[in-house]
Formats: sequence, C-alpha cells, structure tokens
Amino acid sequence: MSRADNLIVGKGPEEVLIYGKPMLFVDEYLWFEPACGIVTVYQVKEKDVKDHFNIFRGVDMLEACGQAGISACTVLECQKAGKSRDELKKIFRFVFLGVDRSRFFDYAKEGDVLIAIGNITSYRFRQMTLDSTLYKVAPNFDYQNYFQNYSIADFNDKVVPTAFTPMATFENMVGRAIKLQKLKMIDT
Amino acid sequence: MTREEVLKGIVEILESVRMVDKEALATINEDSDFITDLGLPSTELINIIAKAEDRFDLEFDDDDVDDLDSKVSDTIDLVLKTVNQA
Repeated sequence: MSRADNLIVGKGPEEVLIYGKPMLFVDEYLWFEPACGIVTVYQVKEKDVKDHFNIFRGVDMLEACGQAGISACTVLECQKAGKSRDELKKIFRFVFLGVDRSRFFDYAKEGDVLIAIGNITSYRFRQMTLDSTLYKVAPNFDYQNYFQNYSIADFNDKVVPTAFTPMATFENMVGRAIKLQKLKMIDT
Repeated sequence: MTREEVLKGIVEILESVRMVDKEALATINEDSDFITDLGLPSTELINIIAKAEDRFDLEFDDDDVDDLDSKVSDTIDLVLKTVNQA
C-alpha cells in the first residue's frame, strides 16, 4: 500500500462523492497517490444495463473514469484547503468539464469488473487534468491484493497485469471544483 | 506595472496557445473575452492563469481565481491586485 492510500482507500465512495447510488460508478478505491493518480473499481450492475440491450454505456465508462478523477480532486483539495470533505461539499461542486480524446475498444456487460486508472497530469487552481484508462478484469483475478502491492514506479510505468483488458482511454479529462455561488447552487 | 504592460504579457502568453483565434488575438483589448472572442475553452483559462503566474512571477490566490470571469480585463485586475498585495 502506498503511503497516501489511507487518504481514500478503504473509504466508501459515498463518503467522497455526492452522487446518488444509481449514478455512482465507483465501488471501491484501490490505490491513490496524490502526485500520481488513482485506481478505482466498479462492477457493472443490472441497473446499469437495463433498457440498453444489456450493455454498459460508453458514456458510463467515461463517467466511471470521471468519478475516479473527481474523487482524487476532492482529496487533493481537502489537503490543500485543510478542510474536511463535508466542509468542502458546502462550498464547492467538483464538476467534470471536458475530455480531449476518447477511444473505446470493447463493450462491458453486467457483472464485468472495471478498473479505472487515472493518471493526474496537473492540479492547479482547483482544476485537475488526468489521462484515464478503463480495464476489464479477468474473472477471479484478485485485484484487491494486486493493488495492495502496487508501487509508484508501477503506476508511472503503466504496469498492469495480463488479466486486465483495455476497454477505453480518455485523454486530458478535466474536472474542477467550482464554488456553489458561481454555479448558482448556493441553496442546494 | 501598468495595465498596458499586463495586457502585453497576456498577449505573449496567448501567442503560445494553440487553440487561440489568431485573428482575434490581433485585435485583443481589455474588453475581449477569452471564451467568446478568442475561442478558448473554459478549461484553458486555468492554464493561461498558471502561465500568467510564471510570466509575472506572482502567486495567485485560489479564491481569487475561483471568482475570475473570462474577460481579459478580469485577468489584468487579478495580476495588478496580486502585485499590490505582494
């Protein structure tokens, strides 16, 4: 486990993100290092493929990677501002703003386990840019154990096991903490 | 530092930004808007502000950047405010 993992790994995503359950595409945080990036996992549920011919939508693949990035953004801002996540929620919304390039390689269906790996390329003025890859994990692969021993060098070298199949890549994803006042959501 | 000097510095920054509308850049003034006049995405504003920190050797406050609007005059105001606070 990396030294920064305890900032988020082991916490429930509902502690970090404000999405309602049907819109939440993070089950667990597996690895986090502020200067590098974040790894999350999500298993595709029945509700995710219902009314979409049993296929997980590409836009939800993007969302899964976006939520991984927003989670990292939340933790970094808590650190920087010296505030708790609950305090930050009263001041900011972490908003996904854009992505430069999306590539999809395969489809996912109910039960598939998806790992989002977000590589943070910058974090300035509450705006994060990251490159993300979404992988499908082979059945029975112990990804939790794998990421317990994952190093910063592994992350930087983009080391992943052969049990991971790339599903999509998203370049230059941008998210930012925006004040509720500016979003005109101060009463929410 | 004068407003004209800051504007000149901003133009220098924008000349290195690939996405900027070069024709609009030729007629930039304080009332120009980075997004609607110069064709930049809102996500690029933070990169320009970061470059302005380096260009003017300043450190902007996050809260000031949060409140920043997208007109060139807003960035000039931010630079001069930060200079005066230093």
